[in-house]
Amino acid sequence: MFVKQPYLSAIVFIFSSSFLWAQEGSLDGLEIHGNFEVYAQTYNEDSIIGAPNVPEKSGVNAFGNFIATKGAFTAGVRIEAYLPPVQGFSNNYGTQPVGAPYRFAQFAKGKFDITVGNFYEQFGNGMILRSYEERALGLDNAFDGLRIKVKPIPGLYIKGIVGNQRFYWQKSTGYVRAIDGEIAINELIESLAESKLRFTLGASFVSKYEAAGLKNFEYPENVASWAGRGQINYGGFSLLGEYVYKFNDPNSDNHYIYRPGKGVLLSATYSQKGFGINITAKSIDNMHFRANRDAQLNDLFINYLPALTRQHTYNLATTLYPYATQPAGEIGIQVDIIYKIKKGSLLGGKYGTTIQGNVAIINSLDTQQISSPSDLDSEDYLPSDPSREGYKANLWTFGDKIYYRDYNIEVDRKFSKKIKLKTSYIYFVANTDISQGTALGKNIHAHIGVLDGLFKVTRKHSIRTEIQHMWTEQDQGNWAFAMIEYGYSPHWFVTILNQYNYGNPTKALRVNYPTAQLAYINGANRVSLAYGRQRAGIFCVGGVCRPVPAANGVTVSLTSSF
Amino acid sequence: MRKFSLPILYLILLFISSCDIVDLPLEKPVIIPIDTNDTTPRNTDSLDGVDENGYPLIDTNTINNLTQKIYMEEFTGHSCTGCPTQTDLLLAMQADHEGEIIVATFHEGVFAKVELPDYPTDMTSDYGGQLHSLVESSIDAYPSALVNRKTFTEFGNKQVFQAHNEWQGPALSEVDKINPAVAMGVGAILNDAMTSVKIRVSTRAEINLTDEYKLLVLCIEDSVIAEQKDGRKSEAEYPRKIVEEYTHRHTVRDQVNTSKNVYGETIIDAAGLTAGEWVDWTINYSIPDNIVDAKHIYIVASLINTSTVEVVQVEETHVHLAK
Repeated sequence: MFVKQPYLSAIVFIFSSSFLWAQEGSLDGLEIHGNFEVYAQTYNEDSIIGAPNVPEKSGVNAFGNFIATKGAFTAGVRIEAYLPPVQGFSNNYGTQPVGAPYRFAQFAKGKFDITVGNFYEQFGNGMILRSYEERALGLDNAFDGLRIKVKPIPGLYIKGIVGNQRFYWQKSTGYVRAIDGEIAINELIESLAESKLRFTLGASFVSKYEAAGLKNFEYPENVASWAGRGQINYGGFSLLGEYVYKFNDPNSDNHYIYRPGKGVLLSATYSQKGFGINITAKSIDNMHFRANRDAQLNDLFINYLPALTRQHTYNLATTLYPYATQPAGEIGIQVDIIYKIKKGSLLGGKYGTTIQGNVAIINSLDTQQISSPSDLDSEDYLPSDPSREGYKANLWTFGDKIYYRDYNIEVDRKFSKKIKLKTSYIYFVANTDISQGTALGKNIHAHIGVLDGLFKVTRKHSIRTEIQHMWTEQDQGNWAFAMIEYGYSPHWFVTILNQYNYGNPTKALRVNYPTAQLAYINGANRVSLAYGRQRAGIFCVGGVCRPVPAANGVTVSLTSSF
Repeated sequence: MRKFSLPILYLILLFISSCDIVDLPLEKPVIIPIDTNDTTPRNTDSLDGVDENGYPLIDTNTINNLTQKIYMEEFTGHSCTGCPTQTDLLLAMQADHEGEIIVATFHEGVFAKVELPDYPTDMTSDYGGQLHSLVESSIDAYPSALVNRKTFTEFGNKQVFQAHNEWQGPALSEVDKINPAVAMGVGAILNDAMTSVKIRVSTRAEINLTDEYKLLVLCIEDSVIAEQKDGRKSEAEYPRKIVEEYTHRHTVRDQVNTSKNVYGETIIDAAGLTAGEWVDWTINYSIPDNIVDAKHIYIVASLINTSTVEVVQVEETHVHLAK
């Protein structure tokens, strides 16, 4: 099914490249950079929190990037190891313990920038094409092929790519061909170069080829998609819009319907000193776009649908009820406001006070079902839906079903040179049946309060505390969280935290999740050692999520760059 | 600029041609014709001779213990214009899943009444009337069908499904369900005079059963020739669109159980049954008067969990002539 990846070729490639340079007789100007990361976890069975007995007792994810640059040439390789994968990361990584799934060579000079091998790329906002790596999610859909970037004249940027995508240690069977053009009007027309009014226009075309599948349908083996975008800036104002259209793409996500996919993203921003507002609206319909039509979870996405919710940082808000973007269909709007009250004012205090408010509203699309998913899955001819459209939807209309609400406000104030306080209130309405696949049949209403304080005892010693509380009558009930962190600048940090699900409706599950951590930082190197319980939850970055299983054990983390 | 034009033009043309638009993913299928003369058994016949009393013996090594079969009980009527179309779709689905779907058809409700002169044949049955009364409040239109008598939360929380578009989903969701609660074997031997059938139903628990289970055994006559209104027919050829010699499939004629309970009779009491244990049920059944041709008789046996009132297994067999 998949093309096997001979990782040894990467090593040979890198070393042969070095050898060729050496043959030329000069290594002057050669620079090598990179970074390492190791994340290891041990596992103890803990039936109360649902941490399983893991036969291997431990998991290790590690990688190292090595990038060599000489003049216009850059070459790199990434070695990855999963010994075995840390729980919560796909077992597909465990099919090969060590390998080099990412290697590339790049030549960039003048108007050309050519890459062979692996590369990451994004067109516009990513709604039509984005390949990226998000290590915390175990996500890497890097292309493997050829990319050419050309800048034929000032202000005109053209990118063309062809390749397949990384699928753990293998590659997609589907190939992606794509071209993107962008015109920066102010660069193109010399007389507008200094204008405050700035225009950018862009257009993309992406086509995927995948051989027909095993089902009875007549498959479109070449699935195309196009997108158009534009951006206008004037002083502190910015207006951005993108529209994407995907032709018939029956796949396992959409129950093999032939309905086209559509998406629109509009964003308006205004900012001036001490104030900023951003309003973003997005609507998506049938926009799963993957290199393989039967891929699942976060695998082999060609596109990325930007998140429309705030990326929270506090523990309870981050991992209990975050929102996962629904490529099948969603419509929403987000308003984000930041305002800094002036220093020295009555409300602003001596150092000023920053207030940030954010509202996100996401609903289902207004749809009318033509065929039920089970009818569609049956592979039968459907007299009432011969073209297998599946449903009708209006891209511009909110449906009845609430997917998510996030209302939050954060106030950040420095009281003195030694004391800084941050407080937050967050209110979620989460339809976890949609975002996490639960079967609660009702929405979760959760209120979270956070108090975050930093006290610099002396120049070297500091104490940071976090107190969080979640009130909810649904699901697991109330949670409390407390953390204290002692910092001995600039190298040492000791953290003790505990989460307590004291409001769980089941008494036996009113469990504490304590963790202690010691971290050492030295320049670009960081080592940490932690022991404790990890709560089962869901972890999201940019609306893309992965489940995090419960765990009890030691965690070791090492990051280093050079 | 000119030196970039050709490759860019090439790329644009390449990409524009890289899109396939499919208007009709599946061709409209031809309805699978039904061989109305075919009365060969569709069940994996498990007969293994007869005992000293002439009752069939079940070959315990060959009975189906791999899957739970699907029991579809269809309500139709001879004056129902749209029913034949839907029934054909049901039979085509049955043919697609040969041996997995067992159909019993009840002629009940407003479209099944005897009305002279067009609809003189009474196709109803006492048992059909009893079951129809039980679910009538959920029947909005005909034909309708039950699927394993289950209520499907994922299909509108319904137990009764109208027409093929509705029942197809729940039925197919039940296909190939492995690890059945019980394995069943059914044997039926017709006597020489074709007046009675000796029937044996052998049921083996595949898991430990902890509920009460009832066995429902029905006598079904296949390929009954009688009138039927069929909206697909032309008025010119079939006045009032009535086909006088329509072949009715899987027509339920009678309940075989001596107990006339709508769920049959208890063969596993509330104490349950341990995995691997057998329950044997036999009857010397007199063929009822409404049977037109005894050679077309099928015996359908289903086991119903009395707590959930869902069918947990179903089997059928065509009657054998005694050797």
